Amino acid sequence: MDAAGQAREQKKQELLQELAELMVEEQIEEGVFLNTPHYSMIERTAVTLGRRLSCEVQQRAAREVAANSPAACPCPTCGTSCDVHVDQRQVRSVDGPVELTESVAYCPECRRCFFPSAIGHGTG
Amino acid sequence: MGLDSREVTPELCRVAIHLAAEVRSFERAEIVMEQVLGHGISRSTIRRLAKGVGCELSALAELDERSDEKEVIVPELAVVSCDGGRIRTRVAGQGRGVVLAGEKGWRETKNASFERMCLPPQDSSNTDPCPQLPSSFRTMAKVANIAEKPVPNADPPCENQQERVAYHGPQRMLRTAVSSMACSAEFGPMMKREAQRRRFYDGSLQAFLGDGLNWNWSIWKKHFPTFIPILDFIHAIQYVFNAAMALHSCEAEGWATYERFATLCWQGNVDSVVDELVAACHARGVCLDHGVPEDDPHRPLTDAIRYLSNNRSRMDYPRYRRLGLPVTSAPMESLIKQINHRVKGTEMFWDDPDGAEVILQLRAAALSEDGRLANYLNRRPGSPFVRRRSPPKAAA
Repeated sequence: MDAAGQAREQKKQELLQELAELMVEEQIEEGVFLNTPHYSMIERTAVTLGRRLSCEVQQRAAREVAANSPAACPCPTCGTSCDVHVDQRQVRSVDGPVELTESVAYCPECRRCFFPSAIGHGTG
Repeated sequence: MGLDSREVTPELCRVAIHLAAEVRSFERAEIVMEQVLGHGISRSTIRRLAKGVGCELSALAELDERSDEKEVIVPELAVVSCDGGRIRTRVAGQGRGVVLAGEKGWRETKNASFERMCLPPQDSSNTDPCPQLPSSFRTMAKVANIAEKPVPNADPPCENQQERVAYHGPQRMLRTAVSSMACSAEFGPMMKREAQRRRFYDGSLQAFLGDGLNWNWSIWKKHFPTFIPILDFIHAIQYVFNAAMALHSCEAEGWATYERFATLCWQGNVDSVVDELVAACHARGVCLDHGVPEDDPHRPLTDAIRYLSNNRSRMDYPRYRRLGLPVTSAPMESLIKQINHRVKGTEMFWDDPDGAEVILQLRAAALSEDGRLANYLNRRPGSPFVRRRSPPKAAA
């Protein structure tokens, strides 16, 4: 791992620790630790946070894919070159609903929208 | 990015498909998903996803090449087994409820297992490692259970008198499965493609196991002629047991004859059993040239003669044991039970033929130990389109 990679890894670790501190702070305020809590309370809160983080990462990564998409794309049905714009749609992920920013094209011939990111991709 | 037209991410799709393949119903899959993930998708969406993936797997199975580009180990021993199963079907497109397909809705499924096996340790003398009939085939309760008959009323052998005998055959390294509603003419090529993908034709030793069903051996003859054909010993003893019990009115004598016949078969002397049964038929005035009615008390004798005569070329068990080959299709029967866990039940009716085919494809992929279902789902192409939604119904 190069220096930039190491710095990034350290920052991730710091941010995760900071998040963990915030979560405990919140739980202290809620009185979770006044008595010995059932561990499921601790675990469930942590899983929920993990899921929020997962959705956030997915949304950000999808924006990155959309930013790299071409300005025009051939329609998968008729091959007409179609202008690409960016739009949002909600999909269901394993960690909950995610608002994806995606490149979308509209084919005037087929009168149908399509997602260029699905064409010839999806395996890598 | 592999996103489905149903706006489900590939990871959630993976969870849904594995649940659909393993859990007894789509309804249970929905409940388990909700319990495990804390959210989920409806049973109808799970069903539609399963249908989509099942159809894709079916199309993929028709390709001659592997799609995962993984290196395949040439088996030391390649064992192919096939057998039929049963599934209940309903007529598709008839709305809710069950409209039976056929008289009672039963349809035959075809199932095959492909096992890469490791030979048992063998000595250099090339002797039969287990010439004695194994203890399990001398156990009355077990044999009666196999033959689906009551346990004979005879004294069981004393435990101490008999040393426990068992044949330790080859060890399974990796099994894959193929299951379909296809007829045997279509199922044979499906089996051949799977064997090619697994490099079974390059195996140092090749064996093909089945019961006496004609289609098993038609497939063997056409697609697996280089494989050593082996009749499942368990099916053979069903016939032998029924015949032995029909020979005597005294159950103890019947059991003694069964033990003798089963030992002869185990030691490869099938002809002696057939000769003795033919002689018994002649002595009782049973004409073997004409059929014997179903309820005739001599029917088990003629059935056994026919079964053993038809299959005697596949009953050289001492040779199979010397080679270290399996002699029963118990793993195949076990595979069918595993398939049935998902597809067969009093309340399970599958659309004929598509719904049934889809669940069989999915179940077989889930039971294949090469991780083909997970591999496929990780590489599954996405859809460039979003599913068209039905227009809202106008208020009445």
